[in-house]
Amino acid sequence: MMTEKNINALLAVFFVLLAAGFLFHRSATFAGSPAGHLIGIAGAVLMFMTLIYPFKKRVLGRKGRKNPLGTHILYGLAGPSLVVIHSAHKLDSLIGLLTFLAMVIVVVSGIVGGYLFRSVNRTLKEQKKELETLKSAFQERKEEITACEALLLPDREKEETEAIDEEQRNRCARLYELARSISELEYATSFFDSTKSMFSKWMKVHHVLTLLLFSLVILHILTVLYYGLRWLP
Amino acid sequence: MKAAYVIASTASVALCVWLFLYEEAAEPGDLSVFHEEVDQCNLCHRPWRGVSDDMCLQCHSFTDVSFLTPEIRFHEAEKHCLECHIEHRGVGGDISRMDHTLLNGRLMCTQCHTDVHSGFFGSDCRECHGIKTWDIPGFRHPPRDERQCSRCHAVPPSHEDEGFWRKIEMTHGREWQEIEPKDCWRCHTTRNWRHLIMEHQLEKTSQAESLSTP
Repeated sequence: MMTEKNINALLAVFFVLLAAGFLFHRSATFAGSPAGHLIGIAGAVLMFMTLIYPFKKRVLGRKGRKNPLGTHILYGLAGPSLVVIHSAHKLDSLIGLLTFLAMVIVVVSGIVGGYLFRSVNRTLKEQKKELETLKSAFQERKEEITACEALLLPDREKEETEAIDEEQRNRCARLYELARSISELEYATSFFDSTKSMFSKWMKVHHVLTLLLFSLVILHILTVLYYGLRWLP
Repeated sequence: MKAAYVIASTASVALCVWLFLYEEAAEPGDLSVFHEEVDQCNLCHRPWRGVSDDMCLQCHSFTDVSFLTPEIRFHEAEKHCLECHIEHRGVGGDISRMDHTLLNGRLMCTQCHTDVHSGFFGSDCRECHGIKTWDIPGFRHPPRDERQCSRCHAVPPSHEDEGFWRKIEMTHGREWQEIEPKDCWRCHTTRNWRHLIMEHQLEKTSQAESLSTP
């Protein structure tokens, strides 16, 4: 079944293949033809529609289901794909070349960053949830800690540890395992936390590049109008 | 991080302003050899209006076409440069796109093209020929036994020349001189004009003719 996630994955592959097409194909006039212009305009509109997501998120404060990231990704892949078709792989002008490169970098940074960021975030959430469970389990058995101190702490007298019966020893072993799991999970959580903050910076780079991209798109449109829009045959 | 956004925005705007002022940044391809000395965009592009026929005609004048080759003399009547011409296709790029449909009805074909029929079919080429393709759809040459070639074809000047027939006599013998120049079928075939019937075939044809004659 074609879910939004599958469609976006297919679009991502389609975009990468389409962009790589410049190695094999180039059309001198398609970008300036009526069809080329229309596709370019449609692509630019879709690209500008990607800004709806950050606007809702930052300005209106809508998150989660009220502001799905999937739609942002859909616009962010469909728009640039149309723009690649519009360019027909003709990248002769400096502005065109820079706009194309900025667009590819933004899309790729979005795909990679988005995918990894979501994966890390999901893992982190699961880990934190598990950590909470473990910690509450540990808290419930807090009174057992004192009893197990003789086993767990190395400076206790030998007679004191020998006095502990087998059942108590097993309980202490389980408690020890619990504590160790908490410790390991806390270490993993802190690692994923730092990875998450690293990807937050990655997404900041994505945002900064997006700024550059939209500036270049506006410049491209302006120069086309300034030097005269001509519908090439 | 807000500072980073401010710096990025300022840098983006600065880059775009520089690119806008640096005219070559918007050039969609090199100019052809014909215009390679043009170094200012506004010589052809009017800001926010772009290129126009008027801008072309500022440099290209067709008031006196006597120095032009016949093929391009129609420019005297045509002032719609941009319908056929395009630039920025590279130094060796083709800047002309000949579209006969644009000239339809406004010019005589023979103003530019040589009439290979030597006026036999009149001067209105479009009675038979199309605009998009010179080929005549559905045209079939008359069958092989057609002998009325002169209905459509004129005797070429070479066949009126005495030297031609002397050469024929030297190669094939005196009797060949008796062939009438308008009897094309004696030597030529309808399959291909350059496919000549050789001597033995001609003899065969003569024998067949004498047998069929009562």
